[in-house]
Amino acid sequence: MSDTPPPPPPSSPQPPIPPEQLRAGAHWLTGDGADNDVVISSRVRIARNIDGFAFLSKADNDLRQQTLELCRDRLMHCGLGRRTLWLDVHKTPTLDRTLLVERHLMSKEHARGDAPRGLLVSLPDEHLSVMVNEEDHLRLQSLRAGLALSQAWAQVNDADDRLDGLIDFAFSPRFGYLTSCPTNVGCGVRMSVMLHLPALRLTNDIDKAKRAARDMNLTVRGFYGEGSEATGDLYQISNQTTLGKSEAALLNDIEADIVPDIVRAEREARRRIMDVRRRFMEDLCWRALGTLRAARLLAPEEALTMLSLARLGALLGILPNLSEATVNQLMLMVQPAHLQRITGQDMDQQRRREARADLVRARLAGAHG
Amino acid sequence: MKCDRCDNEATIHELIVAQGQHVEAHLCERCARRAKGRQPTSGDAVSPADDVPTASDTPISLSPSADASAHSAAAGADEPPHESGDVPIEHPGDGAGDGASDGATEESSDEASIIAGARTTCPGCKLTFAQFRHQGQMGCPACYAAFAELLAPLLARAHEGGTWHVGKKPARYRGAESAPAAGAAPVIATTRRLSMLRASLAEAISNEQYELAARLRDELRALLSARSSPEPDARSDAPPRGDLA
Repeated sequence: MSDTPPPPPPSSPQPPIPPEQLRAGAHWLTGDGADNDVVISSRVRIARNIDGFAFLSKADNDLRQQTLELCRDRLMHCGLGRRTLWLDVHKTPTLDRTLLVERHLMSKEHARGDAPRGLLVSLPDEHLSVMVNEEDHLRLQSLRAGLALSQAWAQVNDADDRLDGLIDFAFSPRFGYLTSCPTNVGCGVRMSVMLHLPALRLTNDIDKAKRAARDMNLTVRGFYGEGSEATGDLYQISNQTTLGKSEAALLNDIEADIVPDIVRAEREARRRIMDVRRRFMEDLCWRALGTLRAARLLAPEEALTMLSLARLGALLGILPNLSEATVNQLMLMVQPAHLQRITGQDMDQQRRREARADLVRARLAGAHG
Repeated sequence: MKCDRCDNEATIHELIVAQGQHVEAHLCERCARRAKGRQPTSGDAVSPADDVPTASDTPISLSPSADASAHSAAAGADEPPHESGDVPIEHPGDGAGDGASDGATEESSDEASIIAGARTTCPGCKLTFAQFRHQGQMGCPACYAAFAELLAPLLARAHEGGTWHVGKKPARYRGAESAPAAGAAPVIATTRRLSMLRASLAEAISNEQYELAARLRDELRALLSARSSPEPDARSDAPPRGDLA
């Protein structure tokens, strides 16, 4: 895929994403990056709108189409990377949309609806993605493995600078970058890290970590963001304030302040459990691996819960032959759209549970702990 | 339910139907009393504008003209010049909003501002403030200028007291800062300091920390009197033009 693909004819449906375009595993789940024993990934997202254009809540289809074409043109010509994938999301098959949501390349909201909307993804790393016509005209995101908010911010900031010369962003010296929803106005930045905190849950200290984050006006949510539970002991911490705080201050709050504290607390909790209740922890991790290697039906929540404990076992040396990267990849592969893409079949829920169990067993066949 | 103007529990709920629009007001006893009873006093040089809508109710001598200016088309003298033209509030219809747009010459009660404010219409997309409150989303970039003063307390609540942008700006706004013109940098620095002081003052007042508020007010006055020239204009918020420049 080149960086300047010819735009598809206006009414043609988007063909399915070629499998080779998106690798089986997303880079942010490779297990690389700083503090990757606790920090799964870091994400920075900025919201931008075009000066003089109505926001999406007031835009009819013609204006949405105009916005989409303008943004696509500017995105394709601002030098974002050698290879990029552009999708007219409203013409993309449902399964592919879900696949992109599962890879955290776009939001659930962006996947819904048939009004003109687009998505750009940098390849092959999938670090950078840009949603066009989501809640705001442009939402630029960088997603990285481990604790790498600074790198993610640097990439988004660079993309923003490149577009700045080509698009007049809606801005007020008083209110900052103007966004559709005033909760994003100001710097328009949302920074978040995804943390794996099984030991803090087991020691009942998870609420302390949540409180500490909330005391700093940060939000704590589950794996799939707003409204989602912390399945698999995965928590997202993100800022909720965007007005009156600079990007550097937000970065400092999360990357240099709260996250290192939580990482230390999780490591300490892991050590404490291993010192005091080693057999209990071994039992928990081995049972999880046993379930994953023996189950004939697996619901996504159960798969994530068991994979979370298996990941902990791999990190603590309880399951020495199990690699953390394998578990991370499985966390993505057991999601419904990925499962169907891997097996090449459209499946109902029951069939997916069977296929999920089959896939996990096959991948963990050699993991003898 | 929280008070529209502070963090207290709202105990007084009003539904006003004007111009075919339903306008809800939820106020605590203190804010409601202020809305009913406030009278204008003599002018004061310090005009913290929208950042301190409750100023006249405090032991600190802050003029209600500051509050009035918050709803006027031309903000107080301490406002950055680029903000002066940022408030193209329209009051269509029966002229009920005129009082709120007359600045320091007329009394501007909270009640009037709620009624007039809810009917304030964005000149760009015709969204009313009441519609915004209902749906939670702006219609276009010009809405922010149109609803600026009504938004300020809501934004402060949503952003932990933040009322002014700090951080990155588009390149076209960075010119003034990087311009080699003598004095440019100190003026920008003063603007930032003023913004911070206003935000801190508003917070101190809302927390009823009057001693701190008095100190901040004095500092604000000193800074304002020391400022000899207007800040460099950046760019006014223009209504949507339906096309790119």
